[in-house]
Amino acid sequence: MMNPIHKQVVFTRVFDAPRELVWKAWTDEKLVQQWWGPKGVTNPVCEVDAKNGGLIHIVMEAGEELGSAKGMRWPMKGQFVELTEPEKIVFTAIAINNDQPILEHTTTVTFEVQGEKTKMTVEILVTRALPGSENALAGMQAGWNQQLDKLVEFVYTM
Amino acid sequence: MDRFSALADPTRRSILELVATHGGMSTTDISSNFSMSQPAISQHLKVLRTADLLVMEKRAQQHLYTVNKDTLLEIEDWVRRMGRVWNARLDRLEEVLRKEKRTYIPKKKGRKI
Repeated sequence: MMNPIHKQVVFTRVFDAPRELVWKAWTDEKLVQQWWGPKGVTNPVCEVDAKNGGLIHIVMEAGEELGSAKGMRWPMKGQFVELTEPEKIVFTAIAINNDQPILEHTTTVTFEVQGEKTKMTVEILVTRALPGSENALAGMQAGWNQQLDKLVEFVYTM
Repeated sequence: MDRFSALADPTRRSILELVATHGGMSTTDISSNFSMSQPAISQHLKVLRTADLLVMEKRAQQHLYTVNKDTLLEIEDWVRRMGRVWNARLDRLEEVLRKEKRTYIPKKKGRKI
């Protein structure tokens, strides 16, 4: 059973790809644009200026596949705090819903070599949440739930 | 203060974890587990109470703190949702990497003749 209070939210996954490539997938905006929005979600805006102090601005938009959620947009604006190639990325960002900031968070991504593979860890520390954040996330997820009947294993280290 | 801001502070997370483990605790009980002053701990307790993370009950002469289970369950639920979002995103990243790997030329390998 997870303990939601001890640490921040942590996800890890091992990718069958070299570390430089996983790093590239995070720092090349053309690649980020292809994966940031999960299935059924596009990223009409995807600006990733991968350098210290560089800006990150991504807008997710729900597509046809998400049924009634179609057209919903979830923008995120932030700034890189640290980039230590090819090991670590830290950025702070604000999630926006209906033009209102709803959530401030600091995300730390680390990349570890595991033989031919790469273990990626994403830690999210929510530093501020404003009313409405839970609903916004619920709306986003309602769409995905229609798609995701099978979930690949994920790990909460909490 | 909202609950996430309250939780963003490591001392407050530790306090919450302590109280969650031990059940009803007084300010003195809680303070004895930390090196900071009792007034500083009291301030953190106040924030945790305002954020609905802790509940204070008066029992006999003491004020005892317990965790607010409802709030913690809500946070747990939120974390779970966030997990699904990230999981779906990482599925996509996996696909992108699979595709990119086909055309990827490693940097540090020796030169081909």
